[in-house]
Amino acid sequence: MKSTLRSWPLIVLIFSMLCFSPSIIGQEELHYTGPFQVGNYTGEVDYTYQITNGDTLLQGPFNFRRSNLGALLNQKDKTFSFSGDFIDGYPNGPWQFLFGEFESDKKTEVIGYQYRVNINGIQKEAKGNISMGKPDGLWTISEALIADSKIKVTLFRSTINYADGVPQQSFRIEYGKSTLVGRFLRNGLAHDDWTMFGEGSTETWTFDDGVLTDIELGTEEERKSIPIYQESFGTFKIINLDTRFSQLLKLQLSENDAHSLQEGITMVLDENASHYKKLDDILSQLGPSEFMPMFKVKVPYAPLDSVENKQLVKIKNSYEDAQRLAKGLLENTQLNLLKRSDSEAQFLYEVVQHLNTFFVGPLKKLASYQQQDVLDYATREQLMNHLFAKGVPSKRVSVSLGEEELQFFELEDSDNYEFEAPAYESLSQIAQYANESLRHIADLLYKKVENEQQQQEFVTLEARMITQINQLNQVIDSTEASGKVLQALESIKTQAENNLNSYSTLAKTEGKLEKAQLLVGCLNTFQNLAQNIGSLPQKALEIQELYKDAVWNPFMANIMDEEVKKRITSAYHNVLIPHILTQVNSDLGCEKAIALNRLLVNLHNRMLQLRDEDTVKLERKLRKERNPNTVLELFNLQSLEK
Amino acid sequence: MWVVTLFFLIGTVQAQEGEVLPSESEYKDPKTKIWFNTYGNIRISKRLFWDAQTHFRFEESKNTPWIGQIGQVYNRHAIGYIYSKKVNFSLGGVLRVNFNTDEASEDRSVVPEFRIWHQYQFAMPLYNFMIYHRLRIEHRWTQDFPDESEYIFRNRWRYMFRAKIPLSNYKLEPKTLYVSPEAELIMQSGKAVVASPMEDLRLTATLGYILTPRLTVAAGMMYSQGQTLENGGIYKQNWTMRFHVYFSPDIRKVKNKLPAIHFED
Repeated sequence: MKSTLRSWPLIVLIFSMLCFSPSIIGQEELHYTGPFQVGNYTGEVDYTYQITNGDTLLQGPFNFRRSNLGALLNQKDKTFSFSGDFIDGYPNGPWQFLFGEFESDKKTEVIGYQYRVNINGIQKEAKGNISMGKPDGLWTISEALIADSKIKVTLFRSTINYADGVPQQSFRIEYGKSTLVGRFLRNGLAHDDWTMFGEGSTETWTFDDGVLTDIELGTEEERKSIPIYQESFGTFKIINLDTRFSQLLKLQLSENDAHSLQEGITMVLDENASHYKKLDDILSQLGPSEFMPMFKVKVPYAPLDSVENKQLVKIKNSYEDAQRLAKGLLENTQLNLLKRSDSEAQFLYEVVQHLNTFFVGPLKKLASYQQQDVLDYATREQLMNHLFAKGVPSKRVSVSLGEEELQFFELEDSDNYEFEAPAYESLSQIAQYANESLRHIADLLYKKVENEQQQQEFVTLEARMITQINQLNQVIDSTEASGKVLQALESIKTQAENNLNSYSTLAKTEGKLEKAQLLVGCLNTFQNLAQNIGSLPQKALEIQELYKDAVWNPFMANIMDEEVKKRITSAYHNVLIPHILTQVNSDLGCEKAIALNRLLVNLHNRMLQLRDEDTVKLERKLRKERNPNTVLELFNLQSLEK
Repeated sequence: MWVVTLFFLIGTVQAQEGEVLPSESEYKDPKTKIWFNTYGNIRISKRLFWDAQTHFRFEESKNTPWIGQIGQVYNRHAIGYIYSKKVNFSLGGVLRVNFNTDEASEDRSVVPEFRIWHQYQFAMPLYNFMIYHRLRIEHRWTQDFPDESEYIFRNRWRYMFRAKIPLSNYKLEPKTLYVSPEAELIMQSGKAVVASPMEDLRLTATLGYILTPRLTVAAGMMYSQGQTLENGGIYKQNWTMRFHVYFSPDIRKVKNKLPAIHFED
């Protein structure tokens, strides 16, 4: 008991050292296990990391995976597993990537102490060494079709050697039934023959120190040779053998040759690149990496000078305007309709189509090459030949409409445009010419459409007016009203017809469409007014019924309806309604009709309200009052004059 | 029940003391009269009303038929109770001023008459018209015109049957002309009544017009006959033109009027 007490401070010291030692070092290695996401991949991760200057730096083993047995048995499972190591945030050391997309046959088997499930699907695997984010040593990427848990067919397999990210020695890429083999110089430049052995055919790209000199392709019996860079060139540039290079090839080859190359080596290289891209996307999200393989080639370099660059900007602007105009015209539904009935419109429409195909189309290609940054690697002659295989288009656009003779379109100032100039100057002129032509045509066509539209609008509005007048007549013919109400209805009809007549005598001037619109609105008001006036007898009955109280008559011993608030109903029947009818019969204009409609609606509503309100004072004031405006004021309604 | 009682009262007929019954009934010549009657029915609460009637009754004189001289001025008042839309009761008093219409008489020219009355009225809708039964009982104190006349007390038993039939409309409502036939039998009893219990039998035809639910006017002709008090064998007869104004104001405040027609609430 005594000795234990004496050793107590020592135990505390040792314990505290154990506890706090990592924090004393500062570079504490932390561990994380749990859910994690990289790009589209979500799963369980297991890694160690350090916090350095507030940043998370991966350090040591990294393991990220996902598989779901339930999903597999149920339908389909997408699984993945990435494992490797990091040093100071860089992927470094042996790495393996597995991607799978599996279904099971839903049959399980117990073997030993494990359940076994057979799977079918696709398995992709990539493994190799990484040195500070760059592939190093042999990298194998493969894709296989799995059936009954066994590899059935290898769909893709690429084996490439790297030294610090630079491809070395020979490589081999199998894709479907084709195999591409080739080799690199130490600096990654393609060299010697790259040959793809396909089914009964081969394709060979011959490189000389990174320069593609020939392409030979075809079957043993029928071979075709396409010369590429035969002559030595002065200025060159080393670029990656990627899609840009394919575009470059396309630019200098005939369409036919370019087409025959589409399914050969280019395709295999693209496929390989897409696999690397997938891995690079993952790695670059975890830390700095340059995983894309750099197959290198030499190409002649003829950069655009400052004048050409300026011209290119102009071309681009003109092209974009021209394209927008052409698209707008070609897709305009009204124009499409109009051209069926109007031969001039049809001619112009055809010209637009021609311009779109032979002017705007090549410019579009040019814009696409510019975007892919290949223009600096093509000669001007190559470019022009490629864009205008049949030669530079003529300024005089000829169009044949059916069996008629050719018709021509040419801008009046076409002499100011010079198509036979140095490449970019010429292109700039072509682009401007196309743009101006389209603008000119657009002016003509849109004016036509506008006229047509206006014409249509007149037709619609006038048809509407006729319908309105007919409806108005119907309302009046079918009314059971008589006396002053009928007289007022007739007056509305007369006025409406007068308005229509005076409209019909108008000349088709600028303001006529506006007048037509106004008249349609006005006739609509008259229609409403006719309805409102026509319903007056019925409204009067409604009010008469409303202003009744059931009263017990002691002499008769029965219930009788008694009229109440008689001064109000009398003002309504004997002052206001006659006043309104008089107004309808004298100088009825649209404005007045609107005011009358409003008054009729408001008056009826007010009558409904007054029935329930305390109206003793109002009734007293209404006594002997015969002036309609005073009555309206007493009713709290706006008089027509206001 | 009342009706039955009334008919029993008719019973045996005897002549008044000192008078001799004729061997056959004798009918006096009919007198002609004209009455102007106002009927007020003033609503004072949900179930109560003030029944106010004033009649001016004229009759022929020697030289002037119908309206030669004033006969009676008649004030009848009561408080009525509305039992339902179809049934009501009243109780009140009458002050009648009787003028001496015997032009040769040298007696007093005016005497008062007092009554206490109660009434039971039943209405029944039938087809598009209405029929009414009215029982009215009056306790009556009358005196004759000679100076020393004593008040005599009699009871009157009245039953009236009446119909109101719309002529210009399908029902009785404002702006409607209607016709009203009526028959009333007035019996009397009391010490003074010996042989003349049937005081009056009135048969009337009236034409009326409903101006508003609160105002109706009517005019009609009535024939009546009855035993004279002095001699049960002698019958008097009258032809009377009658003009009526019926009014029924409601003096309640507006908020108390509602609902105006529901008595059962």
